[in-house]
Amino acid sequence: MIKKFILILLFPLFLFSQTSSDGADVSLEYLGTTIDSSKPLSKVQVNDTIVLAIDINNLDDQHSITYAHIDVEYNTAAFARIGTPTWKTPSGAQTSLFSWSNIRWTRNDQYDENDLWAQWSQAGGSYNATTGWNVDHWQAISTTEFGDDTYGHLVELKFKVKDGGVGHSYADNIFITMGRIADNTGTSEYVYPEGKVRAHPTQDISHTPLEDLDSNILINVDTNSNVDPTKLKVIIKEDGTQVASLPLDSNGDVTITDYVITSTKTYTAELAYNGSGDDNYVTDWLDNAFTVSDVAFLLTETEGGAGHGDPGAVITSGISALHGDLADPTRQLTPQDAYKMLTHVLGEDIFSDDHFSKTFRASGKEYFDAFTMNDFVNDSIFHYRLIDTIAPDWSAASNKFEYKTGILGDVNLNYSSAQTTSTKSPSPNPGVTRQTSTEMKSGVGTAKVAVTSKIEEDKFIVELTLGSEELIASQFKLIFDQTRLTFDEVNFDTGNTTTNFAYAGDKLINFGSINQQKAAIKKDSKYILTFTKAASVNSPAGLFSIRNFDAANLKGELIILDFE
Amino acid sequence: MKKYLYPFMALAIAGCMRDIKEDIQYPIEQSLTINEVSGLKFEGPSISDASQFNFKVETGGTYYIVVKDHLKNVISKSEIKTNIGDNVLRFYTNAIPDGDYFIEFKDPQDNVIESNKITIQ
Repeated sequence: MIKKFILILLFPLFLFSQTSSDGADVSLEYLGTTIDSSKPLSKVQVNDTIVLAIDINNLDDQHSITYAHIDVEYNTAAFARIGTPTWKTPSGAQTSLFSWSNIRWTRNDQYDENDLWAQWSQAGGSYNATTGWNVDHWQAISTTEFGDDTYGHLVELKFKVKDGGVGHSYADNIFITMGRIADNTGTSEYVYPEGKVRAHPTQDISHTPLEDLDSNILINVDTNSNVDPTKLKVIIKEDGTQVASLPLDSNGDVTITDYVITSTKTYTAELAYNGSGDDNYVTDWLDNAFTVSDVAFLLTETEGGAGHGDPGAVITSGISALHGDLADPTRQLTPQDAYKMLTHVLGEDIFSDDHFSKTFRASGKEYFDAFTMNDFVNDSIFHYRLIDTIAPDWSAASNKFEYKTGILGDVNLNYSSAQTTSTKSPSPNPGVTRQTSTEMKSGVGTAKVAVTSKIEEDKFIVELTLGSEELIASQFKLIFDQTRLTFDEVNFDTGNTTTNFAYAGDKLINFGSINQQKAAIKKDSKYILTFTKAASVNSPAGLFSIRNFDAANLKGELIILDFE
Repeated sequence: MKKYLYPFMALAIAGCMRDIKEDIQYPIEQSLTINEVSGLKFEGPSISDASQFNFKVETGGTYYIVVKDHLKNVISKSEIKTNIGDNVLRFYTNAIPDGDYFIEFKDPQDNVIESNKITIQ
């Protein structure tokens, strides 16, 4: 009774079993192309030559396979079998191949189409004249056992892939039709029975080949050394549907050959931020590019300096001007541009959302390099290409799409690609270059800043003192240990005519000053930051670090701060 | 009622009493022991958050811990008060990015008393 019950339970499983458990499986195994064994079948193009193996997997441990004949038909509009087949049978095996042209197998509907021996041995199936189809009959017999599984290839074949033409169906264009497998090692032949010789797991090749487009397609995105290109990615879309999202390498390169695969569809490449974990576009790039020295530089252009002197002719780079023209934009640098920048630096987020797409600038390298101050003034088109259409020259061996980048607000170009020498305007900051762990900046000089910190009862106090009397603007970003400190306040001792600002994030405080009254920030100005510390903290060591800094002199030129 | 009141008062009085502080001299961990009269010792060449170090001085007073990045830029500076002999303190690293750093201990005259190269991880 129990046996009957189990049989009833397992009956549906038997119905679905398409592979033999004690017979043999025959499969078409794709082995890549003749020039790229790792090329996936999905990437095979017209004119590639693919390698296939007829694979036999013996599942019957009571018998050895010493004989096989397997028939494979193929569509001649889609494939041409070429070259000499490579038999993988044991040495001394007798092998033969018979081929018929314009013949196709008509299946026996009474049996599964992958039941290879039943398809042949039972009446009902037959070969019939069919234009455009060929059949190969692969046969081998040996006195010793054929190999098994991975190395059980009966024979390896090569097919040249053809363009079947408009409307051609590639379904089952290479197909195992029938087969017979036997063991001749005993006193009498054992033929693997019907239902036990299955085409499994692959009976057919139905891939629609890609166009014969062999051009290598590469994108290069040039960035300033302060912008890590590995934190950018390129999103490839085919007719508006995303097909890939590819990070740039450390050189700003990415190959998109595998995703731009046909001339009949439209492809776009979109540059996007690819930061992860603690990475943050706004705090890591935008707020570092868009600083108080940029404001001072722009004020010098529009009003003769933060102190309002003789304006004009200070900014000579077209790219720099584009980065400062953010109030309207009107292709005019105006005090409104400078004050809008200042608003952002003082802590109001003027972009509010989509910061990357609103502020990160990319353009074709040739357009970026050629853009001059005259182009800016004359309202010449600047080709922004954060999203660009990729239209390769398919006749070329390779296509390289090159871009250069910048960040809105980066008037003094510390986070922008360099232009070529021929169009590049004289740098506003030719003097001193300083690299820190997080960025590199060039300025016309340096200014000392004394820094120290200490614990006073339950407070932790950080104090910065400006040692220069030539600064008109300064900005600092300070990271603190938010697990042990709670930020209380910043006290400014910078004189009566200076505008001060400070805003605190979870673990970063952005603070500084700008003087707009034709005077420098007074020497020995102090910034005193007060935190409440956790009771367990017994040492000030490492509770804060200075991450970025920025300063400008009375001419709006960038000054490098030297902490001591 | 009194039987509840007395134990409660006793507990309240005990709770309000100042702790009796014992001036216990805990032994310095073996790894931080400095045999010379002065010196600097971290738990190892690589430190993590709240690792300890021992700054041993002959003259107690104010010193400064200066943290420089691998490009020798000052990124942090702190004032500490020391006693003569061993001063075991913690070094916090949450506010300092992982990497290699130079740690200098300076006196108020800006003289480097001790220095060490460490990796924060």
